[in-house]
Amino acid sequence: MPDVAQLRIDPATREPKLEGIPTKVNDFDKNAVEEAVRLRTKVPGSTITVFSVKGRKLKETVKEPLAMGADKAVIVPHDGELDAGGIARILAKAVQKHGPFDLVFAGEVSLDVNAGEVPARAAASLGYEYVWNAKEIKAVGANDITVVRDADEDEEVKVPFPALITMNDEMNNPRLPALMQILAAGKKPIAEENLAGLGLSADDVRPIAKLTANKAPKSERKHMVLSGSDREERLVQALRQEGIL
Amino acid sequence: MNILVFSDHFDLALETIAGARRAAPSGRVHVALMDGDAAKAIAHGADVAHKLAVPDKHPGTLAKALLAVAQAADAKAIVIGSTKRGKSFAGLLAGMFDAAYAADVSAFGFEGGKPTATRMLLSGNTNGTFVYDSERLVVTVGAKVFEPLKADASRTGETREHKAGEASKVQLVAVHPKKGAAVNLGQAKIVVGAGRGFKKQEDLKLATELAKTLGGALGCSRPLAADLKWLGEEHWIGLSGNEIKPRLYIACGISGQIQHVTGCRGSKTIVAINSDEDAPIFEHADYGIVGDVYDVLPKLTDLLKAKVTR
Repeated sequence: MPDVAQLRIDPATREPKLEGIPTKVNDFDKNAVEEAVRLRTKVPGSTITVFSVKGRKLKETVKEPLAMGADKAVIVPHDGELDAGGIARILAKAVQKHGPFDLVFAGEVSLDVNAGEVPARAAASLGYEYVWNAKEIKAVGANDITVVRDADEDEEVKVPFPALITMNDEMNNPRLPALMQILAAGKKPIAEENLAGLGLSADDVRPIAKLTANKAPKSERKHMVLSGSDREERLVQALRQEGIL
Repeated sequence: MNILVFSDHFDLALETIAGARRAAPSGRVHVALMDGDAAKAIAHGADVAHKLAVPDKHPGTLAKALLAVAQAADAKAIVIGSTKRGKSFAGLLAGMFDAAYAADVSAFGFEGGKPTATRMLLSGNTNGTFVYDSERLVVTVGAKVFEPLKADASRTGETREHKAGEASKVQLVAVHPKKGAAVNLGQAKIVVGAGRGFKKQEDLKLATELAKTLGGALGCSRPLAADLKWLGEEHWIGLSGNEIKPRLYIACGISGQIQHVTGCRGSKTIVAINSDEDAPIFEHADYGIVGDVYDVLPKLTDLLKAKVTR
């Protein structure tokens, strides 16, 4: 995802200036990697594979999760446009090809788009049980996992494998890999896939979403800064005059 | 063209009916209700109310149940109230319905038979409008995006029973009430928000006191809920927390990161109090006071108390 903290808006057009904005691993995806790494210590013999789709710099992108403790990575570089549906289809095929997996963990949403569309669609494609926004893993059995998921109240659910579970930063604090782990990550295997190898055509992943406008909302605020020793009084007065208080 | 709407919170179901009516003025609006008053939904604009009986509320079960109702209703769009339950299966349903998906829209509809939706992008920096090369659409809609239509008791509609199929293999083991007092920021008329301008947890009483005096609710920025955990997530205002739309929002010691602004942008009037005159929150405020919350809040609370008791 683009590093939104570095985004600037063109004041004349109210459009975002996206050129040259660096990309980063979505924060919640790191929560997913962290939870997988923690879970592996409880389930001897398990392995963690990181999947990453889109763009040309994926080898760089997967370095961080590999340094955090993932065992290997599968990347599917793609130069063309992809929307969430296309990404989900590619991920589902790649997971099927490189599986079987008991559990797929994903970030609840990406922090720029905030929709959570990719994991939900991938779960639909894979036919896996789907859990939105798990906050805690309670137990792992031979054939199932028990998690607490977010709802109006917290719901503890036992979910049979295979399952796709999304999570955010309520789950854990992702580790910062040490230098040694970062160096070791460079030696971990990265498999590179392409559409044809996954049995997909360009048409299968053709984007259906077309962005026709993208502008910063107009700010129609008054921008009145009150100063002076009676500023609090004048604020209360102004709010009362407007009928707000 | 027909539209199906669903929300597990009945008030939001009535709002989504209004949104669906606007998107398909000549089509039929179907509403699926797990509980809630079918006659009232019809009075508020629905044509068909499906009383939905489900064996459980797991995402797979709800998605399959809504898919079946949508197919029976010949619906081209499904509108889901963006509650936690709604969010838990809306994307899954979009995948099963082979539909375009837009979460937390501010507008949606069809143009020349193609679905359109407007929603925030880039963490709330922008609003994007999409046109989808698809016949079908699933959207989620948050509270207060649409006003419910006025009830018209003379409206007639149809009520159908709909029993969903098999139960999920997912097992509900236990339900744990959320920690912390119940607070519904989304419905609050006045909200006082606290941020990093407060140095200690006990100092939050300055904000609590102001909120109490105004009859409002206490909210906070991300660091206080997510990092310091001084307040529960139900107080968190922002993109990942709650979206608020009060008459008055007073941001106290909050710098105004875009994620926070996205959560409070819908407030009618915004007051910002911050000691840093360059804090971005002032760009989004109607009234600003450049000052320390420790000076400003007690004065403000005293003034308001005096006004209230006069």
